[in-house]
Amino acid sequence: MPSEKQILETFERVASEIPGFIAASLVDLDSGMTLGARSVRGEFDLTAASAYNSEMVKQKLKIMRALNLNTTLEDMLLTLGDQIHLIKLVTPTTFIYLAADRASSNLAIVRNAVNKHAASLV
Amino acid sequence: MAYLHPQDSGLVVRVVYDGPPEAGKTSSVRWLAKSFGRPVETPAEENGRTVFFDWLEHRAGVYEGSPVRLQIVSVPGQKRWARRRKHFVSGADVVVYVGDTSRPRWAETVARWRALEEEAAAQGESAMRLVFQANKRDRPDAVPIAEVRAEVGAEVALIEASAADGTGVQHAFVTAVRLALERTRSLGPAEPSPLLEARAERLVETLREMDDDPGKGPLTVRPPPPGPTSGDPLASLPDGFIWPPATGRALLEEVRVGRLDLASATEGARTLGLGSEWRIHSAASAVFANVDDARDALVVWARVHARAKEFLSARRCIVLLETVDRTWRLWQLIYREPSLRDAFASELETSPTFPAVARVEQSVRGILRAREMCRENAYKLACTLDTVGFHQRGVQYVGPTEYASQVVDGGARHAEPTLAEQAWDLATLVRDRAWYEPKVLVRARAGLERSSPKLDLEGEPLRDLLSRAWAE
Repeated sequence: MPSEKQILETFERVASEIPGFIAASLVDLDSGMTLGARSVRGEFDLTAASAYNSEMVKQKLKIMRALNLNTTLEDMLLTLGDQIHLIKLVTPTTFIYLAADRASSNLAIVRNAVNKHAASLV
Repeated sequence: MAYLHPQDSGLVVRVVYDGPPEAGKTSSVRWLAKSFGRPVETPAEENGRTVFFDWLEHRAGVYEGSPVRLQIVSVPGQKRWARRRKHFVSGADVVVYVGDTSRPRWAETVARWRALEEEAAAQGESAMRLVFQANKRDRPDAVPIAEVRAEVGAEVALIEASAADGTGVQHAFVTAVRLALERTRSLGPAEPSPLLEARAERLVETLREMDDDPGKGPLTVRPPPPGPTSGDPLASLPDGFIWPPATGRALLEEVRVGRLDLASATEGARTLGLGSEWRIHSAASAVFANVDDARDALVVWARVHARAKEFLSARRCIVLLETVDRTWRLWQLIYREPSLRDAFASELETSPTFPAVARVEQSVRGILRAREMCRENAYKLACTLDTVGFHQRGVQYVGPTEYASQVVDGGARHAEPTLAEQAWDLATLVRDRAWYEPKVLVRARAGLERSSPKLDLEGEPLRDLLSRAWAE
């Protein structure tokens, strides 16, 4: 498991590459705990968002098992009215959760930046 | 001094367990608690030694139409907590002096007994009553009982005991309660006062205020940092240091745990009580030199909780806090849901038609179901009368989860008592209740005649076990 310092350094680099970066966290899938987080908006409750998104990932994995889909879940993209949310599975037990401002960024930029740095969070 | 409680008119009687260090005071109170099916509140311990008090409440009998509420308190034996001890002893209705009668400790036992007699004599006619519980009679080097009697005097109630296995503890306690009630009859109840009415959590604050050596010792409260959040070690706690992540902080606010001294650097396991509702525990192995190791451990422990979420009682959380010596400590906070033993004891105490046979069978089946769930789901939780409770959907685990490497590394969990032992415990509660209310046992025996429980406990039918337990 990477240290909190390593996680924060990684998210610093991710934030510098995504215009409109709002927040990112590395989350333990089983427990919903944030292992490290970086946010530029104080009002964004990253802890709660991470915990609830871990439930969403678990549900998706459950659905895949129910459908006998013999494959892996790579990421989940969610488009809100003014935000983009990306969930990227890093290991079978951890994922990155990232939120960015939709007006300043786009899916390709977000996905590219996260994929580039995800390996350092294994 | 016994007083009539202004709200429910119950007579509140205080029984204090006094004696030299490690004589068996806490063991006696815990043994009583087990037999009553009640929790003991211990605000703090230091290497297994009482620092404030052990506090147990129990209802027993009637005094002139008023229910009797017993406050059973054991005091710290170490001399440095002498003022805390004095606070309780001076307000006692009766003191059970737990004397270590092993030869090496006998001189200290006698010296302290003499001092206690002097304290009682100084109170004049209203003096607290005294019972001498001659403890550690199982030791091969115990002094002869005639020698004990010679020191104690012919007028004092002397009961031989071994708190390690409970021998004589109940006898000493019942004798103490009788003496306390006799004293109340002769003196009349006192007027209620804030000090008499103070319960465990308020008393901790009182004792802190009168502390013997403020500024020293492991229980010193960490100096609050400057600023608006002073005094609350949780206010500045970063996200990711609490599980459950979304609701943990709200639970902590409910506990108002910031008032407690969670930042102390005491070594060993620590258990704190906050009222009768929350249990707060930290294992000796849950202390870490650096924050990364501590956070890894928190995540691993949180996964254990998340995996067993459906089986665990809902109101619980884990929190990671820095201690005053810059190490990190994991704490577990659990709302005290009634266990099977609590539910059994509570109904036994309050129901005039307690169906003892049916309730024993129901409780044992509850443990059985919980153990099956653990096996089916590979939960490493020890299911007992004290860790399992009923809720709407069946059974749930209400005890603390163990923070220890064996929980996560696949080792063996703690040994569980057999179902027969657990059934025997419940049958013993019924017997003990009969000390105060003999009809309970009569009804239980009659119930056994009428019903035929089908449960088989490791080779012995439940019916046979109960017959043995409730035999004349």
